[in-house]
Amino acid sequence: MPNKAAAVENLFRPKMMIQILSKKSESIRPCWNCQSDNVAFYNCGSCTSIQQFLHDTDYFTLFNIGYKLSVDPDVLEKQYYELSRRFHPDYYQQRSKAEQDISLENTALLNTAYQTLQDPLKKTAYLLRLIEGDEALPTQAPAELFEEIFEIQENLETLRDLVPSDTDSRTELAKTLCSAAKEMTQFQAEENAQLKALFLKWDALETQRRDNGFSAAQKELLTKMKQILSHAGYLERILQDIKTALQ
Amino acid sequence: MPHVVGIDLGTTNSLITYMDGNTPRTISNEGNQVALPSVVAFDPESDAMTPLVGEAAKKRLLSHPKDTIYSVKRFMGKGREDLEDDLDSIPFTLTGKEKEALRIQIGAKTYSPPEISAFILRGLKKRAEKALNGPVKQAVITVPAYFNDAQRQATKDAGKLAGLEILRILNEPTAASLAYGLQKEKEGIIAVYDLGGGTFDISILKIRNGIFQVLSTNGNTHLGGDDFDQQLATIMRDEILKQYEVDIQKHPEHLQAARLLSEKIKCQLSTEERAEAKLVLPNQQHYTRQFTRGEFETVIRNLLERTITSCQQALNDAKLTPADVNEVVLVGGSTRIPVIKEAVGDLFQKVPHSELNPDEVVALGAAIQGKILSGGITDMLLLDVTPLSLGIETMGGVVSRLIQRNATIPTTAKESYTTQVDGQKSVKIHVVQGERELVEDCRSLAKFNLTDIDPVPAGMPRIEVTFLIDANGILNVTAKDLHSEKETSVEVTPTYGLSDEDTEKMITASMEHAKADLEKRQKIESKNEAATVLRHTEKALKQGKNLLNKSERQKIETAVSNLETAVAKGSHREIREALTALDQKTQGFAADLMSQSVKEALQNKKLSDL
Repeated sequence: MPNKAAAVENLFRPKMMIQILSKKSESIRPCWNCQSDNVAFYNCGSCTSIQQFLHDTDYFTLFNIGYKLSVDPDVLEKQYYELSRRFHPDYYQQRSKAEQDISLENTALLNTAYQTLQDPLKKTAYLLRLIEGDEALPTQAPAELFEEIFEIQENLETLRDLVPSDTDSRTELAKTLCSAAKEMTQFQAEENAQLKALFLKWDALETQRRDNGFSAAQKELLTKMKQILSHAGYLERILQDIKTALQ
Repeated sequence: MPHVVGIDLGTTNSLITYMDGNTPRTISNEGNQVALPSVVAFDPESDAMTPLVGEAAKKRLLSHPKDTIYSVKRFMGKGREDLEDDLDSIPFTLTGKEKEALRIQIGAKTYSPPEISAFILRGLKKRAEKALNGPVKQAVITVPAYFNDAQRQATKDAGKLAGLEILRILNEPTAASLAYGLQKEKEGIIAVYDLGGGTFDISILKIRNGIFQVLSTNGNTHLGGDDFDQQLATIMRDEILKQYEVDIQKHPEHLQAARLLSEKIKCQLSTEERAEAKLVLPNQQHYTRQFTRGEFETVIRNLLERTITSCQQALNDAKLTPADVNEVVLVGGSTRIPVIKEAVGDLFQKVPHSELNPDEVVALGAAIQGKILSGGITDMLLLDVTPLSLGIETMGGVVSRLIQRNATIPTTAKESYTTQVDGQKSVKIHVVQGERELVEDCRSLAKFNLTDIDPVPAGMPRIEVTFLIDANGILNVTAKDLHSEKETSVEVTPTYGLSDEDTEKMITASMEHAKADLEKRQKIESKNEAATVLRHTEKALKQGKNLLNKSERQKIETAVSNLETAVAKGSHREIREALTALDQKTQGFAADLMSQSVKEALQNKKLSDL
């Protein structure tokens, strides 16, 4: 049986903080096709060949939005369309196999990047992985909901052990679980709102940041985001459990 | 410039189109018919290798039901177990074991569904070559958006077998949106409801600045007009059995007649309130029956509801409400049924568009995409999605999802694998497609075997496997050993369908140009490779001037000029030989050059930097 060893969405190697802060690797690399140094933004100025993303290009850099978290979706979309027009395999069908391959890889990566940056939770997870190099994020029950969750687990177990003919208890339990699910969803929504507030704070600090690393204040924000993220993972799973049980 | 044609390979009818300047046009036959019936008729008594296709084949449906194949699209990429419910109503013979690709029995021979489809494609190709007065080599073929990997692959194989280079497998509703977008020049959110002869798709798209972005898609590859016919035919069959004690199930001719009659009644009920069915039974008795539109609507209600549920799911996935949708476009012949138009209009709260010919709009869109791919249109771009999630089997038969449905394609996911036992040399990966949690509830796509792993202690190897869904929606798998940095071989066993080997074999066996095409392709590939090698050699000769004596240099230069001659006028084989020769002559030089550049690099660095 295969062993799952790495997080799926992590298309880039986790980086040390220092490395993402210095963008030197983004600088000149000669064209793979004609060796010209005249390479401007993913196309060779001499032979026009498409250029492969550098191995450590991250999603934020690709979209040219800095390490900002509350970017206007319209700005993101505009950038996505522009980059798609640049890389999409449809436009490289008449080029060499090598160029077609690069266009395919670049576009596949671009699509994953866009998907990640559109989703607040995925985006946060990605930034955390980029900065802290974590492979997998912990999932953790929110302490505030400890009692409620305990009750849900108990109810789920009772429901599982119920004889099929006992429809009355079943309906009763289903009702309780439904309202519990509502409460969880409510909590999720509150935390999502908190996350958005944290994004704004983060972006304000990010604007002031010099190249010498993230401030203590930013690290504090990261810790808070991480906590919300670990709750989200946990709540998602328990909501899924309730859904499955009620079906 | 040679034409890239667009092909709608439909369940009931197929069409071929081309671009006349910036206008997509259908190509009709001498009789001015645009649609080619997707029917292939064999004559086991005759020696002719090629069967009849189209209208001529359709005429034999009644007289030769066992040798006349219709709706073959339904069998593409399918196994026997997928068709249990249908087997009763099919007059021809299907063979093939469980969990294997289906085959169709004609006399002593059997054919795979892609082979049958290839006959239809050849018919279309011939028609186009005649009309356009020149060879047709490249095509865009459309498939239902909800087609899975095996069904797409089977369609691509059919194209190859027909001697066509398939530039793209394009989703039908997306193709329709291109034709619609080109004509209407509208922007916003559109929903394409596509109900054809055998399949149903719903796609939600956003059109903005020439970009056609699919937000979500849903559907059913086994729901269409054929099923409506079947519902009516079943009513007739049951009534005949009851009233006349005749089981037409046992009479292929009458079974086929009942099916064709049902189709006629269905069409009639779209414009009229009632229709009469008349059938002469095997015992020469006459069966007559009145159908009303209301009765037909009740009969198909259940199927209709399923399409509406798919629409709701697609809206949910796109995070939209019906009110967000600006326009609804109807595609496919079955959308002529009034109750369907109504139901779609009710759901989206607006009158759907049906002014574009619902039978032609998909094929027209395919021609437009053909022009985009050949560089003739640069302001339109399609961003499509994969309809089904992709996952791998993990411990206990549970699916670990790698790519979510509705992810924009091309898309990739990477996964690392290691070994469980000391000295283990291969790892098996089972890839499935579908939305369920357990492997047994999903569609098995293929089993991949990673081989040639270095025999080292368990857990040591790090094999990175890349799953890539390309712009055709077809999966490609590659693997790399992260330790040795070398590509690991991947052996593929597709669950349904043909292995690459099978396809190659069939291509060689197929009558039309197979050999010439193969040689041509190989020649292009070796030419490309030669160009790269020549460029690198030239550069290396400049860089490593001081590393070669005169005779070594001369040997390499001779090999270079041999290769250049081979590229200019040699065959694929001669180019290959010249490439190998040059490679041998430069091996030592390449090694020297490498150590020189390492040395140079080291000289420029202080010890502390290392």
